Amino acid sequence: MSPRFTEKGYFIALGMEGSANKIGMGIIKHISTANTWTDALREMNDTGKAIVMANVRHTFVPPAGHGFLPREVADHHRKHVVKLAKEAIDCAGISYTDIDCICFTQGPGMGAPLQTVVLCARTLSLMWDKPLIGVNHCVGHIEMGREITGALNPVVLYVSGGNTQVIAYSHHRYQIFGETLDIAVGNCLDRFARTMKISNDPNPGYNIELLARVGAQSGQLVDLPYTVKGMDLSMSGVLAFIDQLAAANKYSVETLCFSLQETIFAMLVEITERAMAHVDAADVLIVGGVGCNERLQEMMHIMCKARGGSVYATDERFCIDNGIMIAQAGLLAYRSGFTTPIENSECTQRFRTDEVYVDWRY
Amino acid sequence: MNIDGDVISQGAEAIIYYCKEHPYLGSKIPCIVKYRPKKEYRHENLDTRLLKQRTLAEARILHRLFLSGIKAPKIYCIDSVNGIIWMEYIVGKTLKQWIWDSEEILPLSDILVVLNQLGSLLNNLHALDIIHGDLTTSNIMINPDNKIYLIDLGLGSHSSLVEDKAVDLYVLERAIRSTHPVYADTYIDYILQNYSAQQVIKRLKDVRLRGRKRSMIG
Repeated sequence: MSPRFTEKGYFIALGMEGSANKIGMGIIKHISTANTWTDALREMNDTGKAIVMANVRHTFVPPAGHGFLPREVADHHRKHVVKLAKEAIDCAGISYTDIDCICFTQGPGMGAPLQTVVLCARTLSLMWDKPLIGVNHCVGHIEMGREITGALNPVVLYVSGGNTQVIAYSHHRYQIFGETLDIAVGNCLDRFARTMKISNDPNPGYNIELLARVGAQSGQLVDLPYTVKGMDLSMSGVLAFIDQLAAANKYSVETLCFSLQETIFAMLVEITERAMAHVDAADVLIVGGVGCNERLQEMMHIMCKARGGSVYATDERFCIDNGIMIAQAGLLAYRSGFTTPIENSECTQRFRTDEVYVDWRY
Repeated sequence: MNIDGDVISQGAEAIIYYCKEHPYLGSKIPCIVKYRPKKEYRHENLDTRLLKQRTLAEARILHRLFLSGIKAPKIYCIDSVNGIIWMEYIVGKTLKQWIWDSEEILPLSDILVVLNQLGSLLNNLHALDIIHGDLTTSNIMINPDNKIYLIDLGLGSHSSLVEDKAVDLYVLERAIRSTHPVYADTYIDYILQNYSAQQVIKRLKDVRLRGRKRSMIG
């Protein structure tokens, strides 16, 4: 792999994301004057300079009490993919010829939605004659979080509907220090919302957060299982237990939402703290959809303050799945010399964060 | 909480102090105080519950190990409400440090003898249906006579399941691979030589193949 430099003074990448119920398109621009790898590496590690030219998204929202089925989500993505691609190009005010590479989510995620997006990415790549870059979804979240917040070498808590991982960077890989042994934290919240028929609009986690704020006022905390196992955690038992409590109709929905958040977020903060003690880091970066939750951010802040560090978090534009993060991670890989030949561009539901060789960091 | 002693280590969950005074016997015998501070980020009720549960669980396990003759710090005293345990001070260093030091000065066979001993210790521990929960070479101490001790049973639990024992070994294996990469395979072999529960060894092979979102073929 040899690194890529540019004569025109900048790089532009299109990013396409569709691993779950959101389809997103983003266009990012990196100003670059480097013509040696040392300079390029310095540019790529100097965060906060990337220009977001477009970041558009459409979300599939199932009715309350339902989850999203892969087939329906894929249908949704197929309907919106062309419109969104055009919208992104218009919004950025560029022509397709200005684009250097097409980045797409290669995994992990739901099979059918991933396939819809990869199909579109291949089509554009052939039509416009641009190279393809397959991006690991988790690495996308991490790179965008670093770019936006400027966090230098944080422990990363990646919490979303499909993933729950505590990650730290070492030796050119994002190593997973702790993770969920069964379901992801967002999945736990979404499924509880489904049990309680809480609305999925704009997303179930946000509605639980609002209900929990009401529950916090009464201050009643229901005892739930607390299942931290070293740096890993398990949440399926918590979900089964709270579903039973809900069926018994003894507590209000607000109290249950509050207790669920307090318990599982405490578990997340605890494993993050363990990882921080292990690698001797002071800062935390929270990424992924659940990272929008202000109570989680607040708890993390209290923990970090006690350790003399800080929390970095982003808002819903960058926390929730989006195309721009795929463009960002993809463009870094492109500049390092990476390409995904079309015959190797099949997507995969299983793709671990630590499989990616991170060439663009010190 | 004011504890009269010197901090010797600070983890995510607890602070370890070296104290010159035994809680009953006075200044002749030094001891270790393990203090779990309150976590401000946790809801108070939850924190109180966890603090008490974990302190009690650790104390029970330490006491059980003592009664069974498995080498671990002897427990002296406990204050479960405030999360404090007083226990025996063990002279020596962590196995991690000892292996790092010994790899440079001792023949490999001397290290392997110690790892054999560790295998027997783990075998006896699991025979009592006790799971350590956080086996790493920094949670094992070695004294100047090369006798080894288990420390930090804060994540310890009781279980007779083959699965839990295999996972316990797997955690140790992963820790050895990351801290002692050069001879990791040999070290693991020697530990397992003296581990006699074959069912657990068999399950360990399955556990190694697992993990979320690992790529699969077929």
